[in-house]
Amino acid sequence: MSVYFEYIKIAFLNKCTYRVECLLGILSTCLQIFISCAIWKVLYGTNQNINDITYSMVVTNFVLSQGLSKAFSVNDFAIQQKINDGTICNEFLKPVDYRISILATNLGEILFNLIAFFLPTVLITSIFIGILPPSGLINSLLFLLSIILGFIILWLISSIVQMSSFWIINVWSISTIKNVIIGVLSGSLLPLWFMPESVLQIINYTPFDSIYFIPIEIYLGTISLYEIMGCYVRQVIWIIILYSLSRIMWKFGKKRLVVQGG
Amino acid sequence: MKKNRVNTVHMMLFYSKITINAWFQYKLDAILRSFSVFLREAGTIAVVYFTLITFNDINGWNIKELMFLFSFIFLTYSILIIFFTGLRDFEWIVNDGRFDRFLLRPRGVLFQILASNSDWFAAIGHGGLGVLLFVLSANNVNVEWSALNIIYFAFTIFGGVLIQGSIFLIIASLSFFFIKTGNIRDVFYWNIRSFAVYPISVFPKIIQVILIYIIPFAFVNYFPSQFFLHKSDMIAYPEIYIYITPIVGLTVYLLAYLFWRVSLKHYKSSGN
Repeated sequence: MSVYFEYIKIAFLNKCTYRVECLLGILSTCLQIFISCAIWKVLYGTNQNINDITYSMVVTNFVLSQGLSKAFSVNDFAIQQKINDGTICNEFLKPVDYRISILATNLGEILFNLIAFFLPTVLITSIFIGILPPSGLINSLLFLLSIILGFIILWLISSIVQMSSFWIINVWSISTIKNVIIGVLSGSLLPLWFMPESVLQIINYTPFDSIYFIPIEIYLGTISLYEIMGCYVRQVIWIIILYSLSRIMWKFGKKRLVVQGG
Repeated sequence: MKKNRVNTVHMMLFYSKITINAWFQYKLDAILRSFSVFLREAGTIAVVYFTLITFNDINGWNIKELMFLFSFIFLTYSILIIFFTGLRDFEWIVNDGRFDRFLLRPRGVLFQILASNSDWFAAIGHGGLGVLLFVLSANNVNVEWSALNIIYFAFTIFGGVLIQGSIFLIIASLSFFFIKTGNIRDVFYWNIRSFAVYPISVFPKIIQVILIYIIPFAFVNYFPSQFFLHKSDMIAYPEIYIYITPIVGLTVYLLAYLFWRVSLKHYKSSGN
């Protein structure tokens, strides 16, 4: 177990060396959030709330979902890079589970992102635009649990994309398409309160809204405790489905692996 | 002995042939990647489209007019990227020492960089979306295709390409001073561009000033679409801005080129 903590530590320290990159990343994300909020301010005009949703709720949704989606960035090319240069063989020889080592690396990076990137972003945007606080202590704890489940879903989707590199040369296009779908359907670009009913029907059958939007609804306290339990069940079911899928892909993918040279 | 004089145009075509061969080596991958670029950009449009189902317009612009506004961004980027990919990815050319090769060859350095690479997937993805949006929206917003309008359109697209090319050229010049410029590009090109897809009148004054006078993206799509649409929010800006996109393009490109020449003197090789 302590081996994986080393992976987390190394990834964390690695990220620490790129300070300017982090600063510009904060600037870039703040600008992105600022654009969304400026547009929605114009859309709201003089209205206090539209369909019971206030402008502050929309802003909170953008800050949390766009901030977290940048912080939760998982390298979709981790496996492909190792297959292309053949070093994946070394990973199989090491006495650690390769998949857990990838997860540990990601966790180290995300830990860094949350502290050095997400917190400043939230701070800056709450000063300039203003976000709502969580609707209560219990809700903040429930939010934390839900966002962890959301992250696991996001990570499993990424791991499925990563593993498709056993079958295709370049996962860039699959990764891009995945990011578009998550961007549009997870509510980080358009709050799902305003998504047309027909699209919402489709989203209900996908895992995408349970990544950011469900946690944010819990954070804002717009859904009841009873509904929150239902959301947890949905998240857990999706985790089980995606995990099984990635297990199957890993099992068959490993057998297909051919490394030319070394 | 007959000297092998290859003229510039001939060489440009030859380079293009090679880049096309290189980019389309894996056919299925090429199709998938062009399609995913198309989808990535269309995702932005989809978000605006869904938003405008609830709200009918943004500051008086309806979805068809917005699509017309977006189409300028995609059309210009698609042409831009055929020529300026070498500058977009210039960071790596400098970092791995490939730049030294350009310096040794008997042609202009900038010419070689511009000619030697083209992101054809982006050209197809953005171009496809641009043409689609343009065709879908141009009829709906009653654009009249008189000879004068066509000439205006051609010059404007040319100016829009030059404006964005200048931004690439300036960011590329910064590679001589900084090791990593990827994030600078993200902020000063991509972030600014995501502002520019909307009518600039929706933004606070400071952003408008940046988009008009500092990084003049407003001349790529906002002012040109006003030529065709005559929306009422144009009243806040001088009328003349509608017509000067090509001049703005040439001017900023000249400035960017001077900056490039000055920066080039600072180059020290990093490779071996």
